[in-house]
Amino acid sequence: MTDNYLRFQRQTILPNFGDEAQQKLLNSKVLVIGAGGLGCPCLQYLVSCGIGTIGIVDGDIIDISNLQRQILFTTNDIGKNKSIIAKEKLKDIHPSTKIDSFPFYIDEKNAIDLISKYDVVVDCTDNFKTRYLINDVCAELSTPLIFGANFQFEGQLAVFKMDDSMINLRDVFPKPPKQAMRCEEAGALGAVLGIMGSLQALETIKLITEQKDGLNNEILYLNLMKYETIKIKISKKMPDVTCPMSGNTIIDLNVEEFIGKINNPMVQLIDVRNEIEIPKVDFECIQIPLPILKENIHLLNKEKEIVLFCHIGVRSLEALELLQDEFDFKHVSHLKGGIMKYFSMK
Amino acid sequence: MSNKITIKLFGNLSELVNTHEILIDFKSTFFELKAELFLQFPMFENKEFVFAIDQKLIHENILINQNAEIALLPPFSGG
Repeated sequence: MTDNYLRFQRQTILPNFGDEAQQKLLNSKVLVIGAGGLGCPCLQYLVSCGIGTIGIVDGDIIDISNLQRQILFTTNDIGKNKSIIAKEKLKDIHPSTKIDSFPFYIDEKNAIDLISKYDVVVDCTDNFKTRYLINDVCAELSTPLIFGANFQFEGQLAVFKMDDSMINLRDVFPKPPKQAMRCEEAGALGAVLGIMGSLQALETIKLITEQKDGLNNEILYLNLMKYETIKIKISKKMPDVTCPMSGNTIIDLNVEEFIGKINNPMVQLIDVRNEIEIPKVDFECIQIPLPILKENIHLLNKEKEIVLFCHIGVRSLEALELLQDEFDFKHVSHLKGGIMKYFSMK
Repeated sequence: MSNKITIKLFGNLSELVNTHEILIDFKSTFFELKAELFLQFPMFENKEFVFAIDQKLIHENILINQNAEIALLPPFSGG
């Protein structure tokens, strides 16, 4: 008790803060996905401000080229897992913080299980595929998402509250962009990432302590070379908007609509999950894992309606876009939320 | 003499033209302005970004006024 009072005194005396806000931090559970350039500084500030429970997800191994910006790690840590070492370095800052290390990559199979145990998710990852997975699962679970990203001397910061508006990353960039430069091509400077990761920690703190000036379904662009910033309000994209990239309409089915397609002779139901994924469905469908969909396209009948499904609706959306963009299928839809939604209704 | 409007560039877009701000001829609707942008800067046409006008993301055709603040925002993924 006394330790916490002394420990957090400098922040509890801030305006609009106090013991109430501190208690909210102590009671909260935050999942930081990515312990790299953004994750390292973010984690330092989240632990030190008194977040009660922190999860760290990262399957990466520490490399010498990381050390110029991933500031939790030292030369002696090269070759070790980032999540495990991050926990090592953080655990003595505030010993009563519960830190859980997840030394593997987040993916479709573990994402729901991981994210459902936390109140807030901070996206400190470095690729679009993972970012969209995190976004989609957070939207699914209504878990607020603190998005941060970097390009050279610039940064992007967004808070998606996942409230009734359901505004999320896809209302900014509807599809995972194809062109992305990873930092080994674009370059990255530690100080810039330090600022962006710290901003992510700050927005997480604002959200948990309910500050009125936190980003609210808004995205902030920062040019840290020229000190130019722009704060943008995001509004919900119309549900029947055509995809700006291809002009095709993305058709989501809810569970009721999906059930209506079962045993329909004019419909082909395609399970794009991997062979080992269970539970298998109890209705007739064609199983074509997404990685081998292209070479098995002949199994699909363009005259029929194609309905795709996967675990939570991320791969089936990818499959839908593939069929539309590369193979010109006109009658494709997918099960929004994945087959997990179907099973939960049975 | 035509009116010009300023457009702020973020991310890899500013690299393409070596500046963080460009000037194009003012057009009073979003779609016309977009067309004018690609006419004067064809290298932007296959780049991925969204438009923000007066601090709001814009996808549909709207009227634009002379003093509008316009920015082109590409996606970032680095972390």
